[in-house]
Amino acid sequence: MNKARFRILWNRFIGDKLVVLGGVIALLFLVIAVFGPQLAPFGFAQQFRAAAGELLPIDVMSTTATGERLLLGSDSLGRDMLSRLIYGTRTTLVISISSVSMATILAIFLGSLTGYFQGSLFDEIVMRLIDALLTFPGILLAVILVAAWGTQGIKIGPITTTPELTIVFALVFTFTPRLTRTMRGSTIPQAHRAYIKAAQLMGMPFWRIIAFELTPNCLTAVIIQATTYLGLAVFSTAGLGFLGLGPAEPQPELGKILARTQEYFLNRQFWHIFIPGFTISLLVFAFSVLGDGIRNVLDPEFRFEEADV
Amino acid sequence: MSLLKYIGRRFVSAIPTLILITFLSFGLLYITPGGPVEALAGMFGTPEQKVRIRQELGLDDPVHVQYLRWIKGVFSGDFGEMIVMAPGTPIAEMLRKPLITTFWLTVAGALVALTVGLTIGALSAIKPNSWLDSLSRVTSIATYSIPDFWLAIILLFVFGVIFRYRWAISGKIDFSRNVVFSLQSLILPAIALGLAKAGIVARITRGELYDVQNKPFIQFERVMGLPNRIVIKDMLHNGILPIVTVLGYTIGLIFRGTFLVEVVFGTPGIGLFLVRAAKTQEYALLQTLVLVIGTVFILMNLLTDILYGVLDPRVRT
Amino acid sequence: MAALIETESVKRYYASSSWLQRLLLLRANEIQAVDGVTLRIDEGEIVGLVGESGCGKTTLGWLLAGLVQPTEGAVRYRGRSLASIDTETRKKIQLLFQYPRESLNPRHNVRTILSYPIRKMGYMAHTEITARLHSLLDMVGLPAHYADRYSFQLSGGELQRVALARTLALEPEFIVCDEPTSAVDMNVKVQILKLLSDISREKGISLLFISHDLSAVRFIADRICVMYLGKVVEQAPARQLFEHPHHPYTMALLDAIADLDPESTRKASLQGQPPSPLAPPAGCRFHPRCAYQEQVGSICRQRGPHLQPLSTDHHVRCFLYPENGQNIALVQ
Repeated sequence: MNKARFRILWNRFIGDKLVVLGGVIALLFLVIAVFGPQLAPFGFAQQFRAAAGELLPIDVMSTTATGERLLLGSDSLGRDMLSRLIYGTRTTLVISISSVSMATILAIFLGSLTGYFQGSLFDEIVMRLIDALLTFPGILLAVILVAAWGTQGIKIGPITTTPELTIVFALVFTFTPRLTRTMRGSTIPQAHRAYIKAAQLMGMPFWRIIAFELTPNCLTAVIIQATTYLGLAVFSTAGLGFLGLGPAEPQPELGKILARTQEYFLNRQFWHIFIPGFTISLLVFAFSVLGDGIRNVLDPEFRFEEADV
Repeated sequence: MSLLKYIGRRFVSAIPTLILITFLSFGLLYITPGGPVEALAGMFGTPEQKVRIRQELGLDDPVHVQYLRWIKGVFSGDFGEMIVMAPGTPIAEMLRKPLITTFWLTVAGALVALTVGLTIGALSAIKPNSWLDSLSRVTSIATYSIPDFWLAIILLFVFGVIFRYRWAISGKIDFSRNVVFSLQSLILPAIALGLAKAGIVARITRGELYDVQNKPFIQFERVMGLPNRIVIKDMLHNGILPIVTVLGYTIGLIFRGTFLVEVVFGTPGIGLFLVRAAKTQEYALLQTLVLVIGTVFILMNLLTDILYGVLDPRVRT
Repeated sequence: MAALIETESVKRYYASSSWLQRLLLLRANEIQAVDGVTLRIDEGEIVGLVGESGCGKTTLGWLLAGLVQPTEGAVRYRGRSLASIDTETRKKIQLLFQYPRESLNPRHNVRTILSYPIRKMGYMAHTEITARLHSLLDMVGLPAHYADRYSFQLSGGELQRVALARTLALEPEFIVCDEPTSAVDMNVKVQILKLLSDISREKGISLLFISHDLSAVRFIADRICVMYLGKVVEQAPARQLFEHPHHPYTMALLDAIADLDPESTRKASLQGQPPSPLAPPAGCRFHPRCAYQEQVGSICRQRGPHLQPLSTDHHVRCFLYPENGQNIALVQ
């Protein structure tokens, strides 16, 4: 990309205040995720006792029996809420980002192959399979997969799966069909262009045509979609955690933290109920606004397409 | 193409997907750790049960024979038995009530989402860039980001815990038995579901109607000084196809949302059922739920497609 | 002289039906893009292929280049069927596309575009590749510093030169030129035509020059084929075709150029659009638009004429000329 074009795109991106806000928040969350262990005041499993000496949800801005001041209080097991939120963000983000990027890579691979060999038996089989998978709502598919594999670890050959790995796998399984469809869609018109025919005439092997000639010209759409899916991935990860299908204790995860909220109903601790949900919302907001912004920059014609799952 | 032919073709094209769903459902048992017997017997299965399951499944037969036997059972309404949650009860019997509950929940949620969403969407399409339009943009982004299960928790906290309203509790929905309680049970879940998705509905409606209202005849009505009420009516009339898209889309979204919201309110629908099945590893039930939910989604897509074909002959090509 | 590449009543039909319809044996509409063409191109010869758009000339070109497979009949290269040829030999047949910007990958610069075919020809060392690159650019008349440019930085004529360099890198024996000058300006067109003609003579490369532009074909071709709706209607050495056209369609085409000349008295002007190749007219495919149709009579509507020789190198497909090859004097 040359400089002038880049500047135009950059200005368009900066022009939308909401998008800039989303970008800043997303960046902030990334920093929190990366430097989580340095930023968190306490460990995520460290338990504190309230003045009474019992394990209780400690209120916001209260001091423990041992004199530590907990900014956001503690959960019902006396664990510092702020630290758990920081570590939880880290877990949620690692799961979301790795699943979306794995799904994207897989989709680029499958989409370019099916697009290049459009109408072949291979294409027909893959697309039918994808149609069937698309029938399911994403989160449901994830629930079923996590359920089937169990939240305890399973041995598959040399690797023992962790619940986190199972969720990543389930999310990859959910996102790949949609991303593959997009990738195939942008590959097909390119595959019929003359420069591909020229490469065929030169005797270039098909894998080289796909890898070096075709794919680099078809990536825009799939990358835009992947960005918007980041928000969705956070949503799904948190949703699974909320359902109790997330990482095992004591590992924190945003949805898991939120799932404990009903324990605070009795004492009417509003902040305990508000903050975890707000964190998830903020994260989803940042990613979806950022995704929309990137799409508006690269594809100003776009208006609405079924924002699925 | 005639309408009948179009409908017939849509039905035929749904068949391969349906077959693949059955593969997925059947295959679920085989991708579990420990294989089908462990999966079906669960943690609490006795050795006798395991032997019986092995015999019933005929695990020594080739896979396709097992599949055909299973499919035959499905067609005769035999989905197997519960083992962990309610030992010995046929699954088919257990499914009816949760399905009805979720159905009503979806309907009520979609009603809220459509009422709020269509209203805001139509109003902001009429006056683009007004304060209402900005408000609709902000709320739609906000509601897109707010998880419906969190909204449900907050509603439950505010109305159930702080105000202690009797109607804030939710339970079994069965209009043939207890109408008042059923309606009560619907209020909060429907609001949680509906409000969380109303923003998206408003956004789509605005976009679709914005196109319609720029057509010359609407502009003409404007110039004529016809009241907004009539202009909106005509716009909706011409935007009926986009509205159908919105409708189908909303119902899908709400149906997905019910799973998590049911867990929050403890409403005994399919979602809660599914989560319990997942947690207790009740595989036969999970298997059935995959099949049932997959079929529901296929039928929903089919219905939207057919509605499309009825409303717009151009689609039938 | 030996034939380099030839086709024998080659046919290419395009089915406009889905795989499901084919499966159910519902043979839906077929487009007879190329319908029984016999053509032979000798070593070092430049053959022009003319006709209106949609007459199947591009499909015939793609058949010869092996980009599409014939529905019936065969394409033979040095006596061997193109379907069973090895990849080494296949590279000797190249194609120059109509829109050069389309035929060059927008992500790659000229160096990358040319490096692949150069390496394919066995140049491995970095210095060798650069030397070959520069000699190729020189051959097509581009300065060496163009190697680092991208396609969006080049003009139409320059792009076509790069595309030509890419085909030349593979040292081909036969190049199908698919309307290579239709997308460029007049003065650039002349330069490209001259370049093609020079390179062909210098290296003994045969060309099939496809165009609807008669003046371009006249400039470059040794021999000309005229196509109408999938069939060859006239075939003759370039000069002879222009001076003594025999088929009414050829006459009409030539007339279209001569139209600017007020002295022109020829009556064979072209009326209307060519019929749809989905439903070609019965009998002679040209009869609905033919100016001589009434003269010849109802036979034109009943069956199609054969391509028959008028002399050893002049063939025509028309009932104006009886089977024995005698030339009936045309109505002046």
